[in-house]
Amino acid sequence: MKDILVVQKLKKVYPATPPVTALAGIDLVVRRGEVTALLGPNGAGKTTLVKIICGLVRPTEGEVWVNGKALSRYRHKLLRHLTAVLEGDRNLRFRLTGLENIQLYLALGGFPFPKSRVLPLAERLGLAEVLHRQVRFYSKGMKQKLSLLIAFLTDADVILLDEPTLGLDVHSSLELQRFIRELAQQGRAVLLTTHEMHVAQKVADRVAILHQGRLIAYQPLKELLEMFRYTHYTLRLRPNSPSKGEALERKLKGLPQASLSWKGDDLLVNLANADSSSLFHLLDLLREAEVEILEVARKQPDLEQVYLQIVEQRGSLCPSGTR
Amino acid sequence: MLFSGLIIGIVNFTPLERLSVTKGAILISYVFWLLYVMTAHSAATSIATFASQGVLERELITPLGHLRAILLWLIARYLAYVPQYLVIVTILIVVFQVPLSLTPLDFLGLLAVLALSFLFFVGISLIFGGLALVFKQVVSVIGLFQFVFFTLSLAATRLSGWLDQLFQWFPYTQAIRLLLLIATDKELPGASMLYELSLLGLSSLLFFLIGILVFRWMDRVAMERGLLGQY
Repeated sequence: MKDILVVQKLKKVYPATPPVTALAGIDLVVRRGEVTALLGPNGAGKTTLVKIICGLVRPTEGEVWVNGKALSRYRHKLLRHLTAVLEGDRNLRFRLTGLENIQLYLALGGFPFPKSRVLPLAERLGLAEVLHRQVRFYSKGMKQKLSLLIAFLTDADVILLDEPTLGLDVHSSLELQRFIRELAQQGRAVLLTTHEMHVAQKVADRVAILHQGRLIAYQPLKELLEMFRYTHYTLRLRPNSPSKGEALERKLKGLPQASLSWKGDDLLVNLANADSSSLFHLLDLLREAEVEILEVARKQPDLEQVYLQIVEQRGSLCPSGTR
Repeated sequence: MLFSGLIIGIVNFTPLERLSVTKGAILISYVFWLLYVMTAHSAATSIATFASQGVLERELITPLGHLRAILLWLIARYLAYVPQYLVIVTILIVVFQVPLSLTPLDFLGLLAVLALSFLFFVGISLIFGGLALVFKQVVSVIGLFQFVFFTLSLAATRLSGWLDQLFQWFPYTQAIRLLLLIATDKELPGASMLYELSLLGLSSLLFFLIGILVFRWMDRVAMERGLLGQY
């Protein structure tokens, strides 16, 4: 079964005065061999969703299906297929050593202890030398890495990672990103929440964006970027004299897609949503004006820009066929 | 320190002819209270602290389920305290020269009382632990209960009237009375002892079941309100 984790019409209203709606009917599918990035601003409902899947929070309505079985009915059995690294460094027993924590949590989860894999994985994450040290002496980043190491040592089908790169140094973060891709290649399903868009863009196959408890986008990453595909050209120009610069500025203001700004003696021209013909037209104008072109840059929107645009618009892009 | 204070007070204020009996009774009451503190009180305090810090969440995401995970944790914790407890009790007996002569049958009786009391301790731990999942500040209330139990330990043999009736079914005072009978008075015939043990077993089982019910109820409330792993 490729759709290993299916979230169906999931709703969570926390009892309060007034009641707080954390999730307002979420439909989401996490597939084997894929990494799904769950994005959204603070308070969007990401952690609530992850905690419901882990069995720490009871949903008000809806169901979570793991391997085709309902979590509400088979929670204990299905947790054997799941592992999670939740936000923060509280996932460990501080008086135990790193190795003892690994043994404890693998045993509690009903997972075998893969002796031969512990050291190589620990080495990759830079933990090999501290495995026999009590966790209370670990730095915040080391605790985070140990939590991740435990999750990676399990043979769980679904791995939930809540802010996995939080508190990690650059090297560890990059290693973790490689790790996550490897997990997907092994056929496992990874659901990760993050505020770091560059991480999501590097590792995710699919992107789900939550906003105020609603799923406002749920697409394969490539499709999502394609939907917002537009090209920016940025040119840095240096006119021969101030008068020529002013004349050029007047001339370029007539271009519909151009925005202009000065940076010292240089005139910056930004061509938004431009195609090649717009650029050629601009270049013709510049040749006539005999202006020195210092730099031409071509940019396409990254996930961060797409995310901001979607959240600001709050327009739903979620296909109606999604379960 | 507490025990030393008790002994010094007793040595100075108790008539000589009753001294050895009183010392033994105090030791029994004290070590039983110590057992409560090291197991039920300590476990309940830890669960409450973990719940307030959000440490519990990782342990609860297991195929065992929340109740079984906590029960397993409680038993492991109790077992870890056994050697420490035995060392303390031995030191107390030796240092204060408490006369305790136990026959093999007495020893069996002691073990039976302790085993049945553990059901009560687990029940108490589950009640406090369950409450801690929802009411994060319950740890201060748990702290007060150790003094309540300490008072009960010393008063167990002297309860009278309505208090005696009230605590007749309370496993803690029942257990102390039985321990005192076994270790000091030795007046109970076999049949009465079995009856007393059955009563202790029933009342302990009742508390154990109440503990399970309270924990499950509080766990459900905590899951509804999203309080597990909240920090």
